[in-house]
Amino acid sequence: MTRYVPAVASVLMFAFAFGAWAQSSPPQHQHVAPNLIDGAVHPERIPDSVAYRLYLVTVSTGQNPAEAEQIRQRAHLVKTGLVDTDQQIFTSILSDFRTKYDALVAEYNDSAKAATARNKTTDVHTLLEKLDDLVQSTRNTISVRLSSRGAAKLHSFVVSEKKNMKVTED
Amino acid sequence: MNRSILFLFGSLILLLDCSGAHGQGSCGASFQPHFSVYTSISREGKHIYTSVTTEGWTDISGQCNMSGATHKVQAYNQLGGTGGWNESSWSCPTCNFYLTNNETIDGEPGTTYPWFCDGSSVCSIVGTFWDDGTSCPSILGCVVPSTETTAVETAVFTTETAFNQTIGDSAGDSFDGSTVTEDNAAPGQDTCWGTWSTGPRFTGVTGGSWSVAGGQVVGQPNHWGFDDVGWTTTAVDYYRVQDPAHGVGIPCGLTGYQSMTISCPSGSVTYTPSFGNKLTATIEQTDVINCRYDMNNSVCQTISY
Repeated sequence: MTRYVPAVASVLMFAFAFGAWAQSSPPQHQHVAPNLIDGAVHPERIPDSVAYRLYLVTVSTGQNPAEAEQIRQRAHLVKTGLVDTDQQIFTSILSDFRTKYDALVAEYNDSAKAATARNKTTDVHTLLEKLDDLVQSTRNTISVRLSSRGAAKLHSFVVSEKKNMKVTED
Repeated sequence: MNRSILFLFGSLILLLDCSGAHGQGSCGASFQPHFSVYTSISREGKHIYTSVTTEGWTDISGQCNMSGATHKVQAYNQLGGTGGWNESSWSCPTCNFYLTNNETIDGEPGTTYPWFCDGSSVCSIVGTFWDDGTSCPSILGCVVPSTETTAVETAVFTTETAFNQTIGDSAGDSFDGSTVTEDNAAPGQDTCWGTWSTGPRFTGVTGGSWSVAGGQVVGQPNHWGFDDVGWTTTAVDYYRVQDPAHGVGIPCGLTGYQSMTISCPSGSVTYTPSFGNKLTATIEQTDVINCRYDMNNSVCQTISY
């Protein structure tokens, strides 16, 4: 045990030295501790829109998913209690969602990378508004295209899944 | 434990780095991580699917030279010793990230599989700067139904009833694709039969198998069937005449005690109580009554014949 103390001390000294030496070049970060909402404890503090976003991102697939992806997605969907016809409709809704989600994030990330190269930052809230709009329009589509019973089942399932989510409070 | 040490060490370096920033005063940027993690379990019979999604972004305010830094997100998903970290590619610190790490195993009944999950965000300069510390529950392998209910589907072959069963559990697991098979929990009883009978005595169920959500119940999640219960018209006609002629009263009938098993990788597991489901078919003068007494309900159909 004792023989390892000098080694640990050396590592810590290196960390100090690196922090001081590095002042002139790399970015210096001031991190703020996140306020994390544990959905298992406070599900009511996770907005439905955020729960839907996480759920939709998780269960959606890209265009032409592999067979393994389809099987996994089906396992996700069966858990919702949707009947086959509603599952099939929901699968196509998920595919549309994912295509639009990927495009929005890719567009934003391109602009963020360009801004970073100019030592600028981008306003992520523009992206967040677009993602919220996409989630809301997807929910609207679910309400219209699924059976009323299916849409209600899906909603109550997504809300119940908040217990498995941890979300940073805005 | 190792990840916790790594995170603490990363935080230590981060604090050191941040104090340098304060002292320097040339880069007063503020970083606010906005990450979320969603963990999910889905099951289809013996198959266990887990997913861990990490998504979010870092809100950066103020001016700072960020050209040297990149970020990525990670999702940890280890199920029964299979899997581990999955991570996004490095990208700009203000980029939006989302990543899902999926795992699948086939579970054995009675075996509990440890599940470890985590989500984190990593900076190329300071290391891990956000970690949700998620803990995930262990998962029981190859769950079996805890409930089974019966509904009358329709009358078939004039005097028999096709019953449609729904199985489930409290977790809402899917059993679609599994095979359920009947057997006898106890010998069947037949009060219509006599030594004079030309037909066979009912001694028990025939040992049928059904694919959950397949066959006649395709498209109906967690359903199996149809389970046909009843006498044939030939038997009904015969016993209505022969039983009274041999001093046996009408009504008479059969009773079966049906145990149900469901397929798992190492074999089948019985999910009905030890006494099984009771199936009855009664011949009356002007009708027949077919009943199925299931784990969670019972239902009968009376057919005029």
